[in-house]
Amino acid sequence: MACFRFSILLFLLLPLSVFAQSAESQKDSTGVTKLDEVVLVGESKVMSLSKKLFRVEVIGREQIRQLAGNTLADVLNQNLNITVMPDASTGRSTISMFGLDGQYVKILLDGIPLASDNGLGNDIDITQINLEDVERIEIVEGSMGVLYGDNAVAGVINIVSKRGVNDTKWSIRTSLQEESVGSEYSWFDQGRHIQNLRLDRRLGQDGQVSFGASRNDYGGFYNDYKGQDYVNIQDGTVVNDGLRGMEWSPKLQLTAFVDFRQKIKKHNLYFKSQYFDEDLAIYDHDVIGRLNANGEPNPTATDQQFDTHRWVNNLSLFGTLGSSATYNLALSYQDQKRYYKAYSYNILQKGIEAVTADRLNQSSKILYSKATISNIFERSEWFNLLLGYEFAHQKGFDAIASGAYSENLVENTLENYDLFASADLLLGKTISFYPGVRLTNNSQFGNRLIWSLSSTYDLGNRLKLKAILGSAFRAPNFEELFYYFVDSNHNVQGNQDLLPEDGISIFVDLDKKWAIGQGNGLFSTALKAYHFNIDDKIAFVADDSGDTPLFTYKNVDQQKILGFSINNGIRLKQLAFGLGATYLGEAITLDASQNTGNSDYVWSLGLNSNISYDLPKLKASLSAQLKYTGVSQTIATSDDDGVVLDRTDPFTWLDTSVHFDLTPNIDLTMGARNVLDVVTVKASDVSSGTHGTTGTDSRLFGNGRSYFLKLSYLLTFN
Amino acid sequence: MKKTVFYILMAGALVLASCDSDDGGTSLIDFSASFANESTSLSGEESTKTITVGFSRAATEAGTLTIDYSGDNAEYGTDFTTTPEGQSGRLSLSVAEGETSVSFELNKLVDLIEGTSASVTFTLSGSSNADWVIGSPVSTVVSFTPVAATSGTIDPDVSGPNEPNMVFVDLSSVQQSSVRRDTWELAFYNGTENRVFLNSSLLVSAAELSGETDINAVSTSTVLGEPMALYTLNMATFQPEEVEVATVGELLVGLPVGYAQYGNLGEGIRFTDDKEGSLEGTAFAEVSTVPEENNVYIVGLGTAIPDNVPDAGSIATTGDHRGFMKVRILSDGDSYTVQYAELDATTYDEVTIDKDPSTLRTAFSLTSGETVDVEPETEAWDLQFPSVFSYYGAFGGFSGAGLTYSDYVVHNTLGNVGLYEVLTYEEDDEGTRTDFDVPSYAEYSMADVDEGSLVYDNRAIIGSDWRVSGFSGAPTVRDDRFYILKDADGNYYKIKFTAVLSANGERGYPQFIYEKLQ
Repeated sequence: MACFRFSILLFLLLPLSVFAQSAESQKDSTGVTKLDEVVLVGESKVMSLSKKLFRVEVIGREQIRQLAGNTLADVLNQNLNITVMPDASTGRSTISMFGLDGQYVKILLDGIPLASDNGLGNDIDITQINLEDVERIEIVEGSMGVLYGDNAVAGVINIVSKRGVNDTKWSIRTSLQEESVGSEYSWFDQGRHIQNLRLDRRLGQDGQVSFGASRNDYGGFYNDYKGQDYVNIQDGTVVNDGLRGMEWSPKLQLTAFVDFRQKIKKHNLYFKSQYFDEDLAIYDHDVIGRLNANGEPNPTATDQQFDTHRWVNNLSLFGTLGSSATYNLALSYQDQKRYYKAYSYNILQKGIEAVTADRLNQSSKILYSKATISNIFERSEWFNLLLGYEFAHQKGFDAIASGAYSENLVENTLENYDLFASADLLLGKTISFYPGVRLTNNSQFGNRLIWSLSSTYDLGNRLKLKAILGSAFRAPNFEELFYYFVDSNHNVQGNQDLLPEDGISIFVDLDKKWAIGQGNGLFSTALKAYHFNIDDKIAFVADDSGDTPLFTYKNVDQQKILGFSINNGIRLKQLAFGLGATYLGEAITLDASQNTGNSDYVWSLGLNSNISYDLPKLKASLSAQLKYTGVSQTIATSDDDGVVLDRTDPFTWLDTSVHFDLTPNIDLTMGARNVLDVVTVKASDVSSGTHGTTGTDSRLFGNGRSYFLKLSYLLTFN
Repeated sequence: MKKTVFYILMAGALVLASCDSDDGGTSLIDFSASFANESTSLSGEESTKTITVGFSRAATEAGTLTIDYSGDNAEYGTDFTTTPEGQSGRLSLSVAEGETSVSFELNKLVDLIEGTSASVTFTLSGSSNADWVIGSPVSTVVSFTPVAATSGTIDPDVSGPNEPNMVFVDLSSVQQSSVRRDTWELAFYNGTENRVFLNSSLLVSAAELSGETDINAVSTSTVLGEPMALYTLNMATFQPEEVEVATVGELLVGLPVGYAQYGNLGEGIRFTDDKEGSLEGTAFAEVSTVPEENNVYIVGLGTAIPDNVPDAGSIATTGDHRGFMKVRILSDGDSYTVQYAELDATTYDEVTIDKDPSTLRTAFSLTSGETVDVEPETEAWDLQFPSVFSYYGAFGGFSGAGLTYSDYVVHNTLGNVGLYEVLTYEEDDEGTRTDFDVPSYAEYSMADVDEGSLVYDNRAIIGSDWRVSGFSGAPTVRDDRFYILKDADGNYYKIKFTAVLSANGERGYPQFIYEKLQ
């Protein structure tokens, strides 16, 4: 069936490619030639320091193209140390990096943290980050607290915006992507339909303005569910079998942006304004089978809609001052709002019977600024200093994180004033030290110190050793501070006296490269060891010190993570091949003061491999990415019988694709995601019995094997 | 014209003839027509009633009688008809010579359901013969005897997510009545035993002060005659923890219903009535007719009904605690005397409440000092939706905890109503479904009824188990069960719940359907 639908799709796309062909011949007649994308203005220096201090993994344009990635969730799946954690009930996907969840990873857009539901940069829904406008994704591993502040414990993911072409005055890029969701596909209601458009206009020699928009229409995944209009009526009454609705909720995303870049002598200005809108519809699995006045069933269901708007305005200024000092100034204003609408849907009449809630249920406004200056000491051979400040003002509320029953949806304000410094000490040619320190002042918990010390040792012969030692510092989030849910049976409250989690992280990284074969063949291997020791970890605990028992958050746990990974890569002629493995152990001491939990490590294994092969004659390339996630166990609770482990079964994710340059201006990518058809993975911490069809305890990970096809067209002219 | 002349002559001759008879003592008595009774009824099983008009003597001539009819809550053509047919409120009966009575039939078209009334009045209004007299009774009222309803759909007026009402439902009359949960705290038993019930719907609780009979002497600082060894549930560990209570003030901490409520089931100490609703299981000991045997009790007045509107699918049923009072109850066997006061007051109020045999219990408000009309007559309710329901008991791993439920349903065990549950299937932890060999709700008939399964000693068979937390949070109706109920009049019903939420997904809007088993 899916194949049949695909042939229809191909057939439908055929006229488009014909159009593209004719467009190409037109273009030929105007003498426009295909140009490589080149960097228009000097690259932001935000990340350059990081590369010196930390290990940076890059997911480039090529890899994004191979995966036909439209959102960050499409591509991060394949990273060895990152696990994407999708949540079917909310439609959100967050990440876990080195075994630490999204709270410990900071996501930046061009070096500036991105607004999230109730924070800045952390715990971001990565399905909401569009990749059409993205040049590459930089994944910096290691504790980055000095440069990026709180919550940059496991690392930082920086999304670098794409620059346009600069040799012609105009460039227009459009692309269409059609994708099945598992075996589900139809022209409108099922599958995934993506349309992209981007326009670049060069302004003189040193300027450029760009506009782009991307629309991602995800029809949701039915799996065993039967959609919005399903109801089971037997003997005149409704049988609520839980099969209504969808496994994954449908959503429609729109991302639009305007970019402006200008170089003025030694200074560069970059302004980006990005608007994001997402409509998420959640169809309830339950049917309300009330009988009407005539005794006939009038089935209704309470459906929900979440409409998220995010408006990001980033302004960067960077360049050099004096003879060598470089500076970077960033200003940002971000505004995110989520509107919630609940309505009662009349299933037989296929329409809304009543709107039961329609309100703004999350809002955050962020003012942010950061500046750094480095190379202050002119041409010092052995010493360099970077100084900077970071300021963030967040104001907002979140009904979900405040508790569904909360009546005090008070707007809360968090402010951060940070100063930081990082020095380079080059002791001879082989060894260097980079000590750094940040003083953070937070309106909630006052002054804190974040520090790090890294060192690189060049052993010669393309062998390098890097070590990073630093604080593992995470500030409490909105929910932990302000949650409130109190009634006769419940008393759950956030704790405004929480302190930040603090601890130590250690990264050791050994890199070796060998030249092989003729030309630029390369074999590289990287060995990595890391250790996090997080003290005062915030945990959800019961407190019976007061008159009424209270569930709240407290700084009582201790978490330790120890991991090793190895990554090997071969690049030889048309072939690129990579193979990696990671072995990660986690130990949690529940309520460290009482020492009730176990502190043994529980281990999990991950493997990944990727291969790509170019076929120059066909102007094609083939690629495949495979990732194996081994049995993962987390320490859930401890009781008299000892520690209880939650176990998730292993699963393997395989993506394959083939890419063709059909003409110099048109290229086509087609492939299959999730070839091994992973939908659910058995997990012991998922409650059972609620799903009429699967029955076993399992966690949803994917939509099943999906096929995609993407056609891009680039037009450039003066 | 000739005919008229002939009739007049004939009539004249007859008059003469009768005069002759009188003269001879052998003349006929007056011919009069009358109904047999002033009233009669049409029972539930009957669909027609034959109504006879009797004569004082056999008719010596033919004629017609006219009867007017008028319906009260009954309309000709929809609720009843007659044979012979009537028209415009009147029907005529032919009388043949020699007949001593005539009759007609009243046909019932629709059954009258309990709780309403309807009747048809027939009045003899005239005859064709001038000398026919209309005797007494001149009219008869035929009332339709109500029958137990054969089916019904009930939307108990629990009234939304604060579940402010308790609702009483009578199946045979398809009637419900509701009252706010917070209008009373105590209810006095009207049967032989002298018993006091707590309003478990409002989380009312009570603790006896052993040996204390002077209500004025009791205050927060009162030291108990003997310390009480109780347990509470430690909310951090979910383990029972011993508490020793030495003063009233210490007792107040663990008196309100909540997980951490004090109690000691091993010693039979419980500050709530039992879940089952037995006479013996009340928190108050049986009231003695010997005054000095009745101790003072501390009554926790429960929690106020909140008025905040929770999110769709959620409830908000318990608000702030309403405080404590002290109460002492006496009885002479036919009435109760209630002494009550604020906890720290040094004087008290007193009220006497007579037993009212028409209802099971008489409710009383400690805050207003008056009795409250809560329960319908004993036979006039089968099911109660207390909505909110609380008791102290074992739960899951807890050995004892004060528990509060919502959407609760109980049946009238003290009013001789029996009920049992029919399970049609079960699902184990793996989600494997096992269907039981029982008829479905639609198929279940009188032949399937198991008299022995009817439960008369536990009101909480339905409880809150008729609904369950849904696939996505809000509760849903369990479709694996229905109930068989036998009311005090011996009617059998099958009952199935159809909704726990309103069409818009708000909690506190239960609905069920039922059918009489034939």
